[in-house]
Amino acid sequence: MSDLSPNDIVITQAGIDASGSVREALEGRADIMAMTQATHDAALKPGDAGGLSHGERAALAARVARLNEDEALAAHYMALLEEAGADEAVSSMADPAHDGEGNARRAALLAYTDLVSAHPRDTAPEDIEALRSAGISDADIVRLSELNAFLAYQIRVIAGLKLMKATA
Amino acid sequence: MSTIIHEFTTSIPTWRPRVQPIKLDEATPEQLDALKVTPSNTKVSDYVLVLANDVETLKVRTPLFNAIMYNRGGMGRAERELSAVGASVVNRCVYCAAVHASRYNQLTKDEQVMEPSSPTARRPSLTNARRRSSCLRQSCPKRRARRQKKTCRRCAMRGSRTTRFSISFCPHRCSAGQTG
Repeated sequence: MSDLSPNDIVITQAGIDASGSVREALEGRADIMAMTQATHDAALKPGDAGGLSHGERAALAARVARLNEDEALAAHYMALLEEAGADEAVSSMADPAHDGEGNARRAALLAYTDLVSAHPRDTAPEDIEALRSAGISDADIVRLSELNAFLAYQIRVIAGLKLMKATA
Repeated sequence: MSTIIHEFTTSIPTWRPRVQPIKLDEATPEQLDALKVTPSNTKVSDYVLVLANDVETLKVRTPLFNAIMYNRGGMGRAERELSAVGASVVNRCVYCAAVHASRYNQLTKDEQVMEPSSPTARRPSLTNARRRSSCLRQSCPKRRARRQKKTCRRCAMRGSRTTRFSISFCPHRCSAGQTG
């Protein structure tokens, strides 16, 4: 059983105290917290980013955090975006009001991300076709989906821990 | 001729990916490692072969999923499957709901909970779930002890005599253990 990392993003974001019942519960799940962190790193900063750059991943993550009204988490991803040194076109993807502005590839990435992050039950086969039509490869569709899957999970764990903290 | 299933079911439908799975004979060493392919184990599902397109995530998300669904302590196996059914229904994933519902049925040998239209259906309640898992505390070794029917290690360390415990009694008298 490993110990909780002092740099754990989920625990930091949830603002869990250094002692107390929520901390104890987390210590019992230190393995899951470590694997959650590893999945964050694999989804946001993979060694082989394929066709989805670190900057784009960070921008999309900040966008999804904002769609879930989690500004503190969005700030974490904006810091990753800065770290990636992305240009303005990529950085603008972090703004939920921005829709890709005539760039077919970015518009498709944003439309798919908005859909699966906010309305997963409304996804349809056409949504995969729309990504393909915009020139996004099957491998990148999987990368994009894994990024969105991780964010959905992470945002819910943070929300759940905040709730535990509030009711502890 | 196959048809697409839109209604929830507890029998697992055939799943076909809309994106291309990787081809095993073209897989990189890293992909083979993540897929845990060995000469004696060459059967890999299309689902996992699709995920192998993003090998770095696959390598960490599989152990994460397994830890969430199967790790010791806390909620029982069936309760976790029940939660997964709930998430699948909210997300309207007929396939995921079927997988988790059928596992729930296998584990509990009770198909009524997953049949909301049945006149005898029982609504799963948190109260019932709590009653079944009489100790909710993570550090309490009771669950394991119950399964193995062995002496509690912590009690043995305290020097107490061989202790066997019933389902409703936590030998450590932790308050969560007394709900049964």
